[in-house]
Amino acid sequence: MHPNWVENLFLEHSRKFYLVALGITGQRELAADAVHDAMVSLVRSRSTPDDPTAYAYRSVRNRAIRLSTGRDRFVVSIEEFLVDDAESEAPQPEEAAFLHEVCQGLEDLSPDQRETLVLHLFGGMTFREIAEIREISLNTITSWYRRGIGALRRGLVHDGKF
Amino acid sequence: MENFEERLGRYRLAEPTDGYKERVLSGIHARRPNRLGPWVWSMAALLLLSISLNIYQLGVAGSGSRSLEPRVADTQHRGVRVIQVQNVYVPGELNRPDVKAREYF
Repeated sequence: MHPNWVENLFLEHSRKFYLVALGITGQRELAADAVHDAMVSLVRSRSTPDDPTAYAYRSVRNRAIRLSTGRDRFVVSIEEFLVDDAESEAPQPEEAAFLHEVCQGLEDLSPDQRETLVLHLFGGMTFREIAEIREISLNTITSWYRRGIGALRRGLVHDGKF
Repeated sequence: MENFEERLGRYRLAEPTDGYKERVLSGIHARRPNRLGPWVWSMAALLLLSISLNIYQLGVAGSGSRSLEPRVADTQHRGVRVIQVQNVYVPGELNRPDVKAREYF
């Protein structure tokens, strides 16, 4: 394999690596740290894995989980990154408040549900992509998503936010 | 439910613009294994070994009691000339009484 395979891999998957880490940490600094550490460890590894892409995603996830260990809660700051696809600008105050409540509601979900929601809903990744990264069946991923989005909606309706 | 998902689906996580890519790339470039590394380490080990041997040899040569050179002492003892020879190994003859007689006059 080409000696620059890690660099090429990163350039090709940089956004998704970041999203995967962000779905676990909830914080952009920690997500960037996780990707950085994972890529550096790949560069330093003596052998090239059989499936570099899958290995890289696993490495990013593991780093993100390790960096999140010991933190009490999933600290949500992802609303800073949300942009309206249609308007391509910062959301209006009412929508910003809604998104803030959504991000707060994410904290109450299970880590698997939260990660799936962030990757699919806000990251634009397909269920199949998430299933391949997580190395879990497609049914499990869709189940996590459905339960997560249901719980999130119920929480907002209960609080009168939606 | 559909309405809720549609409303959320309008938003995406933006590409990070705080130097994330540059930082990771600089990390990748900094940690890329150096092909000269093994050679450098080998040469350093050889140099260290050479220096260690030199120091050892200097220590051996500087120590009188450990000198590998034969030592000969020619002295007078009560009017008798005594010649002592040390560090001379005569294979198979060390335990013979006449060796001492030959070595120490």
